[in-house]
Amino acid sequence: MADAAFPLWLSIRVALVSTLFVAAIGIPAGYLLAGKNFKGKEVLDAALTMPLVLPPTVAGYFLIVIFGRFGLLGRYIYAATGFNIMFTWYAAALASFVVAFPLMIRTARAAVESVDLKFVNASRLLGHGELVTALKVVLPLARKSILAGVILSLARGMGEFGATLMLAGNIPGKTQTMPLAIYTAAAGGDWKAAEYMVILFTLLSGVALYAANKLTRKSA
Amino acid sequence: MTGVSVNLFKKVRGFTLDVSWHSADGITVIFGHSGSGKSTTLDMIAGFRLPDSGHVTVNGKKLFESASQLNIPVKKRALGYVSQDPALFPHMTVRQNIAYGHAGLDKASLKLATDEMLHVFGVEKIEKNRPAEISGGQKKRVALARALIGRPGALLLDEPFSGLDHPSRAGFGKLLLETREKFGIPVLMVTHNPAEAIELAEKVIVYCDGKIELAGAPHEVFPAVSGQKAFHTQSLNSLPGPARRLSL
Repeated sequence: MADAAFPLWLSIRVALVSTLFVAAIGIPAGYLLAGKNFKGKEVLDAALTMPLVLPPTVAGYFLIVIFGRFGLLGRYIYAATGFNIMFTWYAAALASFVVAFPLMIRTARAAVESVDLKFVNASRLLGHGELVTALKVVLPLARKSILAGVILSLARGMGEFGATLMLAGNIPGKTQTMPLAIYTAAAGGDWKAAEYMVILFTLLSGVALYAANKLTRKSA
Repeated sequence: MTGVSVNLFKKVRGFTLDVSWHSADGITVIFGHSGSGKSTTLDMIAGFRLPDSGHVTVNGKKLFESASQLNIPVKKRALGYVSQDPALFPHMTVRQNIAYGHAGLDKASLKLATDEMLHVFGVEKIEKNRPAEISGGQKKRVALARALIGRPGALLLDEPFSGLDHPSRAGFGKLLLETREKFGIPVLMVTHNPAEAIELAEKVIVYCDGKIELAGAPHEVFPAVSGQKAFHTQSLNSLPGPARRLSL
């Protein structure tokens, strides 16, 4: 059972780090997509949420093309710092970020759009600008749905498999997250270890979904 | 020059608003049936909608002028606005709602200003309540306090009596008169209820299908009905068309 300790710890670490970035970038992005009209808005939305429908291996492939040692950005990062993200736990966090980000954008956009315009208008009339209105009126009113989005992103980030395998590999003790450890255990015939991790993972996912549903219902 | 002056022209899908008027200090009622352009006028003064052409001037300051392409943003117009729905922020207490109405005061001054508004509008006892926990009449009072704490240049009221029962209406009418006295700013009130117009207005502007049909003191605009208590309970919309014309 001790074999599950590192993958569990790594999965939690990867999911927490990716969710931090997902929330920090996804909530403002969802807010902008909900509140602003600009040319190419729906195209941008489609591009940002595409990983939701792409097979994770395709997302992983794109990530290699962009961040790999000879990738579009990766080559410059390597030239400047000597750092290559491939086969590190950062790569697992990046993969989790990419697949969880669309969930955050979708929920944040829907949450912001659900806030009645009368409150936004009231805030503007009372002399407040966009930032104050966002921070003191819109986001507090949308907070439960947004929090539900954060929890869903966390759960999605923890469960990421395909893109992580492509970008971070499956290195025990280094980049082997829980889903990868389950795959390795099952493929190697260690059903007992696989079963133990599957039960643990199912429980964690169930709790996350229950919390997200509860928050969404309360904010409705 | 104090007061509100507007010249508004707007064409929207079969409806044309074409009005020009000036209101001095005191309460001016914009009166008319539903769809006559009353609320659209308030929205244009507040800056939520743009006229095709014209101007909006409040206390001598131009807020909109099509000729010079001037359009002061909503947040800088310094106007108080209370609509049919008070739109109190549900996640804030009564005190927080009122305090939110004054942007840019330091903490101590804001507390003093909020205390004063809580007292003036008689809502001190419910200062810690959230909007869901107070009555419709109390919500209107809080909305008024929130609209006025920033000392706006004018107060816009869109059907402020809607949703109030009879005893609350009487109390709220008295409060509006006191508010006008205390704050000394032009008050523009939209209503389709003649009783409210007669009771509160110093000037009545009657709208009909986007145009001004009549304007003047209540006794000039409603000569046949001013002072008739029976009429006070009726709404213009409840009268048939010809009777409505005669009553004007």
